[in-house]
Amino acid sequence: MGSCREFSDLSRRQVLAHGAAGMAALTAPAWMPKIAYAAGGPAKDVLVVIFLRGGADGLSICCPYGDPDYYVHRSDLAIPRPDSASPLRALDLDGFFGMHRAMAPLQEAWQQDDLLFIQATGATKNQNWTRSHFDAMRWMELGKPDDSSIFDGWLGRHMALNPPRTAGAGLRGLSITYGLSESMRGGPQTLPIPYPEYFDFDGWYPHKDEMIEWLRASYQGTIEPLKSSAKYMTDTVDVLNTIDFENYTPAGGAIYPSENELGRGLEAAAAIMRAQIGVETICVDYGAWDTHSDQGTNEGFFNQHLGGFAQSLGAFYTDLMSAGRSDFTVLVMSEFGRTVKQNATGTDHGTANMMMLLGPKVVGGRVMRNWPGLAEEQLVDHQDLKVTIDYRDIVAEVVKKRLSNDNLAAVFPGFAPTLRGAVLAT
Amino acid sequence: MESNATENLAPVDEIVDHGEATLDRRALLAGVTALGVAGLAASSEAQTQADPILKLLGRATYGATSADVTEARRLGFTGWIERQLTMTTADNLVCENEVKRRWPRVFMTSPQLVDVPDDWLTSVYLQDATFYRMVYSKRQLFERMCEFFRDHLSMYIWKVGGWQFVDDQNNVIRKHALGKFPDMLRASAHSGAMMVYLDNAYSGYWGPNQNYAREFFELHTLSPTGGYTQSDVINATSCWTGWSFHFPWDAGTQKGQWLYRADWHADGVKTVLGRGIPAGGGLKDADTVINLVVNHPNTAKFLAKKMVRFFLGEGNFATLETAVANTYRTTGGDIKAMIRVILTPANLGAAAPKLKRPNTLFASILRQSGAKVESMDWIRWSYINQAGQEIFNWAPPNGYPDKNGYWAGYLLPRWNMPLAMMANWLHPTIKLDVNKLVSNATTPSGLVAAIERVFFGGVMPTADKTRLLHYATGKTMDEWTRRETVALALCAPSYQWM
Repeated sequence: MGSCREFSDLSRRQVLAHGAAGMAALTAPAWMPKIAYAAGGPAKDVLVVIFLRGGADGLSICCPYGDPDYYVHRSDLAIPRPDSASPLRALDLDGFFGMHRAMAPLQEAWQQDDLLFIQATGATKNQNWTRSHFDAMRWMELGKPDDSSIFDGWLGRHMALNPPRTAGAGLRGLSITYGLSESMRGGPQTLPIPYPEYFDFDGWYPHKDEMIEWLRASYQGTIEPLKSSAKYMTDTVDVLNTIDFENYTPAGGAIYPSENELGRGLEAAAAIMRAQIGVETICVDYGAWDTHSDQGTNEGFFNQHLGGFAQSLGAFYTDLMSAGRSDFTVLVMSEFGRTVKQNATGTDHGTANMMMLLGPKVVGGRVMRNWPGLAEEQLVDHQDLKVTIDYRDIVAEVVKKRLSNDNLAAVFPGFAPTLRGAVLAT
Repeated sequence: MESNATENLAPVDEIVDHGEATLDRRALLAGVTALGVAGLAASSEAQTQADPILKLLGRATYGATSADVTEARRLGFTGWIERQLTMTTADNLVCENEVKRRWPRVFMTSPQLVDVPDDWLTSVYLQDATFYRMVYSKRQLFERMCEFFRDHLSMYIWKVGGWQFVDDQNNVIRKHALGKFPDMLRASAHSGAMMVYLDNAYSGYWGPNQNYAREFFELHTLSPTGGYTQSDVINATSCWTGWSFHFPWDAGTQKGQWLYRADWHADGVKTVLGRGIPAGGGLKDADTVINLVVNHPNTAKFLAKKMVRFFLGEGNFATLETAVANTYRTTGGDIKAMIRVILTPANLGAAAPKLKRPNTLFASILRQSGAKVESMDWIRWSYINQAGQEIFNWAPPNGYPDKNGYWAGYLLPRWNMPLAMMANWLHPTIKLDVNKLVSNATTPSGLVAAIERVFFGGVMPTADKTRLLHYATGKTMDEWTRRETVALALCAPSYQWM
């Protein structure tokens, strides 16, 4: 699988922990109106955002086998129709779309109407004109394309505008990444913790406990903002240390693929969610989707990589549902789709992509779309799927209905979303 | 901001807070309180040093060593500043030769680097070398100004690529950090890396890109409230069409470096900041814009305000800012002259508390302890990255925030770096003889006195000193007690401040 240079660099940076810049805000940012935080708010979901970095090929995840042009443009890379005899055939969804067979671990969620695909999404304005990973991710996570005056993410703004769900909660937003996810930037009580199971004081010392006590006491006597920050930090260490990650037992016999970065992250997320420590939002990344060459949709890299995604997310769904949780929603997004027309062995940076929502309150079991078509004249620049649903319509609906935040104008400035019935309000 | 400047009337105090501006301020709020500032001013812990020399070294270096203190006392307040302002590479060869030995790529040009394999390593080497210089350079004030301008003309290395980025750092930032700001700004406008980062590289008459023109006004010169309009941005964008760089596939010997592509330029009449620019000006169009702006009072004011904030913290320094801005205007933007106005005993005496940003904290631990760093990797991966200040890794164009409230939120990596280092977890990436560092102290008071001398310029705030003494008392005075006590001193509240 060959990635472009920009994405290779970005990925190496991530792999090597040269993570995205991002800092943890202890307090609400300065622009925020002072709100007297009530203890607790209305019931809300824990929102888990999975970002598929690199530009995942949505046409190979949720494939439009009913559009004959799909097979014209994807001569080698198309997924065979569900009614074909091929062992590689798609799993039918609705008679027009099918999902890649590697998505089988999510079939249960689909049948329970808990999995929704949204096709041909993206920014309705300009988002991808550069086709740069960096710019596309940034605009998408900030929530307003092409506005260089915005530095906080949509999720961060949501949290900054709302009281903590749990009175006295320390950590509200957890980014299981190196560096805070940009979508979470600006949110109070958010932290980038790539390995929650190892979030602790470093070093071995003969009197380490006494040292940590010394630190706590010293910061108790100091000034703000360090005093509060130190307490928040030591409280977070304490609360994460109460969770036995090593012996965590997923419910319902769910098995997370532990060698998979997403599986590891989602298992940690599940352990944290089931421990009920007040975490409201969680970001997890799953990268390496920049399949310019040797894409291997059916029997190569993509097939395996998507399998890892589906096994991880399927395990997460099984785990939480079996544990009786009805308060979670998973949002899956990627910075752009890939060219409808394949190149020799892969696909290049495109425009529209699919998104997914998973959870008990998702109005799923369907593929939401306003299908733009794949005929030559229907493509953007004669090569890309056209955006027909703004990604913020979907995200805004989740923010409003599943996070009980009506202030969408502040979360998505300058954008009036169309709510499309993707999730239930109660 | 999408608004034009007439609607964009943020209070002057918010100019340098632009880094945290998020939503449309207009839409969201009226009464805003900056958090994290109130209550600090009177703190004795944050105001560690009453001695002007120690205060100067605290703000103008990455941690004063005992030798630094001795030298500064010998040269005197003004003498030390002048020495710092006049030193050259020749005075700093030990450090520079080591940088050259370890990371030769950071001395190369874009044409030399264009075909070097693994460009991402060039980026990493530049990050390493930059941090190394913060720790080990004798030209501490110069390095502080490099840091300031890295943020002022901020770029994201993973968008640009190391091969062009190195050229920019050498020929824009480091070349002019103690020179004249107009020269730096012109160099930046002629930097291939900047053309890439702010999307001017492919801006032509058929599809002008406003990114560079907008940030040039908003972040590099006039400030968000600097009096330009959207029309100025559009017209300036036209002026800058064709400002690009030599592509790797172009012929020639200047690959990666700035190039004016005349056939991409939008001819036609432009009006920028009230000045008419006639058609057919070509390359001169943007030169006119730059000249208008470098001499603009709002550029002087903006830069003055940011520099004062950088050295003196978040206080009310309106009078001083005006004086520094006036110095800019009378000296043609001479950075040294501006520094001289800011760094006086009186101004430092009135300085607001300033939290060390993460890299400053880590650099000061290494510098003051005299540790020998064999490899940067552990600091980078485990601490700099976690603390959120990886060098050249701030994606937006406004630079890392220069605000206590922003950095106070994540203390764990700030504690973990010294905890790991003093537990000897980091050997062999770092070499340090802790016993020698504290002069093999055999009593608690001797140990604390050594710590005070090495890390606090001889004056440690009383509260932490008392607590530290209490910690060491009653313990066997062995290497582990020394390690523990030093680690705690570096984690202590008072060591977090400049």
